[in-house]
Amino acid sequence: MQFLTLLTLFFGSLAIAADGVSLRNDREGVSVYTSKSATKSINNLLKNVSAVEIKDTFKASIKDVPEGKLCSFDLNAKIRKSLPRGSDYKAVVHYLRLQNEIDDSIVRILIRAHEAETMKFPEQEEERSYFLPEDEAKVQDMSAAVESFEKKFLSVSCFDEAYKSLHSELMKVDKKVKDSHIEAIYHKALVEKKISQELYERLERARLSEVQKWTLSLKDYVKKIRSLRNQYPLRDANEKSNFISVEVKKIDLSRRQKLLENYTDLQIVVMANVIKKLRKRLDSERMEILVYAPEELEPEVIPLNPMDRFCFCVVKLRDEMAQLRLNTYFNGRSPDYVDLVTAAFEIGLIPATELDTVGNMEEIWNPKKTFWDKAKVWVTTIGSVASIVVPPPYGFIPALAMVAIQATTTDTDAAASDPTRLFKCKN
Amino acid sequence: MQKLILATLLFSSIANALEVEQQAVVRVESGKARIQTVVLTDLVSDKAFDGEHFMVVKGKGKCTTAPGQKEVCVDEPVGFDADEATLLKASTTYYHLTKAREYFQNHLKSDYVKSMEKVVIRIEHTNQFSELGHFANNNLDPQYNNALTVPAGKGLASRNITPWGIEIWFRPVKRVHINDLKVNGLQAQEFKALLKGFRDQIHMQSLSRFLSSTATYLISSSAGASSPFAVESLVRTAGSSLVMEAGYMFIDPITKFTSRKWYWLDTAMIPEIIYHEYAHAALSDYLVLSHSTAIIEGMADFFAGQIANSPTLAKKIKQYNTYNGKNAKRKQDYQIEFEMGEYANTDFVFGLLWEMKNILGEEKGESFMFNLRKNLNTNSTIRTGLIEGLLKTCKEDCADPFNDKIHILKALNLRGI
Repeated sequence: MQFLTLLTLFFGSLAIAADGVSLRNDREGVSVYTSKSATKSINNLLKNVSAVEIKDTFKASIKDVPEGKLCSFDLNAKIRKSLPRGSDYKAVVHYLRLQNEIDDSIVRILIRAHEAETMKFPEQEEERSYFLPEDEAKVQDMSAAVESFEKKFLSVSCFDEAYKSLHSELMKVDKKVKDSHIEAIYHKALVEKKISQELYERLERARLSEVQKWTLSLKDYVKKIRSLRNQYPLRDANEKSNFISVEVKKIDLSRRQKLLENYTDLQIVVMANVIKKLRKRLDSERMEILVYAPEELEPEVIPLNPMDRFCFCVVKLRDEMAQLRLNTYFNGRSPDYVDLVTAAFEIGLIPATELDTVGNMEEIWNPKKTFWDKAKVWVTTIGSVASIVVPPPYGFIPALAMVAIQATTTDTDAAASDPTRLFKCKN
Repeated sequence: MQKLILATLLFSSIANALEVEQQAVVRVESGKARIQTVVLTDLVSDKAFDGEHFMVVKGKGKCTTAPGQKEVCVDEPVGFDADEATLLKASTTYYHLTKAREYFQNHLKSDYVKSMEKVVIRIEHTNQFSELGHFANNNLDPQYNNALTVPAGKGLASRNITPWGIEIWFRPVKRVHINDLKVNGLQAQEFKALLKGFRDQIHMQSLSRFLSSTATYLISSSAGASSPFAVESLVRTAGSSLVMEAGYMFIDPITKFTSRKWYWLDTAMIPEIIYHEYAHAALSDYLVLSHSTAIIEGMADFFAGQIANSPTLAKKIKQYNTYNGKNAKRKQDYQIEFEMGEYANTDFVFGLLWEMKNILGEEKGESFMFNLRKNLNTNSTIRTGLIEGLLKTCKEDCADPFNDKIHILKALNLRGI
């Protein structure tokens, strides 16, 4: 099975090489980057540069670039060079997203690379002290790695990948290497004229931008999407959804960006298939439990009623989600439910029209807390203390408040204590 | 009597149907019940409540008993010269039944209702229904304070019982003392559960207070803290628990003492009950009129609510109903008892169907519920038959079957079904 999957992936990638590269958005609805300021900057841009020029420049920049050579830094440079001087590059990228020439993941990749390249370089203080690692041998090895950066890494790969390779080389020398040590190593290489001022500044900007932590390069992205589309060709290439563009709290990424940044194509397929099975089960009109007894020819058939069928689907889904953690492909990582739903849409296993409904099923076992649910905790806590402190005859007031709030807060799974239900959705 | 009959006969130009102005109980905009002048349509008589679709008869009709013979009754419509109370009942039932019929025929496009024969409406009728004899013996437990829709019967030629069609019977009103009431105890159980929670809290509170005062006394007895074992202190600490316990033990007699003593239900004067009964007749192409179940009553309630354009039934009409009425918006979790015949008239299924309608959309939901009857039968239970029926109807009727199905199932799950 694994061999078959790998074979598919291999032949899939061969097929890709023959086609031209397309970065068009084929899944996302409204962009996660939609904002008034983005719209304003696009409007200002279009006063100086025509829409056709922007699109043509972009298309020309990616034309004839082999997939293996795709590089966000190079692409940025090409586009910037072709457009009139002073054009707001971020607005260019946002405009391309608006026109669905690219999706949010590419917007992030390009803008991140652009910011890493153009960030204002900190002014150098003359008396600045740098802290090299104490072990001289390590300093020598690290300096050698920095010195060979251009030849060994940059000449064969994109700047971000090259920088990541350099960083891992430095880590190999000293696992506990500090950022201040790396800064000092770069500076040493500059002072000793082992690297040019320009390269020094690039490396420093990359260090400050923490390029080594970037999880998705342009090349990886294209490879991932190509692989998924080859295995699961989209039935409707124009089917877009806003569900996957919703920003995930605390991580500053959309649901789809999170999926593509954190999971491999194989993981995405495995995740999507969990939802495919859920969808199939939810559609089923008949489920039975068969009980085989040792000395009976016919098994006992226990048909499930509709609500038991529904809750069985939920219970089984949660079981399969837990099983994913044990799957060797996931290395202990546990994708959440929205990740699975996003993955299923990514490869077209559920249509956009069902995405919200299936996505919101999480409310069944993970309900949103209402104001009263939150109030319940406080009222119970305060009420317990108040019931002792408040003297008679007013002591009944906190007790009454506690009972009232317990009675008015809704039980989100009323079936939980019903012995006539075989499967309970919530537990 | 004639003064009350504000009857103005209006000869319709179309066909020979007559229109008559009469007084009837109607709901006004505020939802309250008022007696107002209404126009009764589709009449075929200018002297009595005899219409194209309904004939209102008082009791068994005109009965005669020849010496040594069995009583023979002939349906005779209530005349416009009847007594004031009968006239008001007859016009109220006729008016609202016409409205209900129009709803099923014109709004829901029911062919069954369109082809339905004239329905006999009996007001002030106390006899029980007999499947063979139409009316049970007069002496057999006369019925009051309810209404029912009876199925058509073939009659019994050997006993001079002629065939009859679907009929709707409204019982006379009768004041019933609380001691004679047989009520389902579900609401009382809910209240008792709440009271039990309160009682437990009070006992815990007394115990906590006693323990804390004991601890304070043991730690700082030298500083003059009063003993928790002193009579005064014990009374103060245990007082609330004792009062609570007394209240809990005597809750039933206290409730009885403080609640209404007399109950009555004048079914023929309550628009929603009239709609409910007609809904039984209109849905009887699939939900045959054999017995009362939670599903059948819930379906009739739903359409009564639709016709009345209100989620509440038989409320705000204290003059004619002192019982609770029904409320589709009352949040109730499923209880297995709802499947039992004696709880068939709770508003659980009504509320459930009302919620389903809101999930599917006002317009779609209405036709959905009407088609739902095709996937139900008189043996359907809530947990199995109704839910399977909802899902099957959704598969056939929903604009977006998968999504709607999930929305329905999620809502049902929250109800604890």
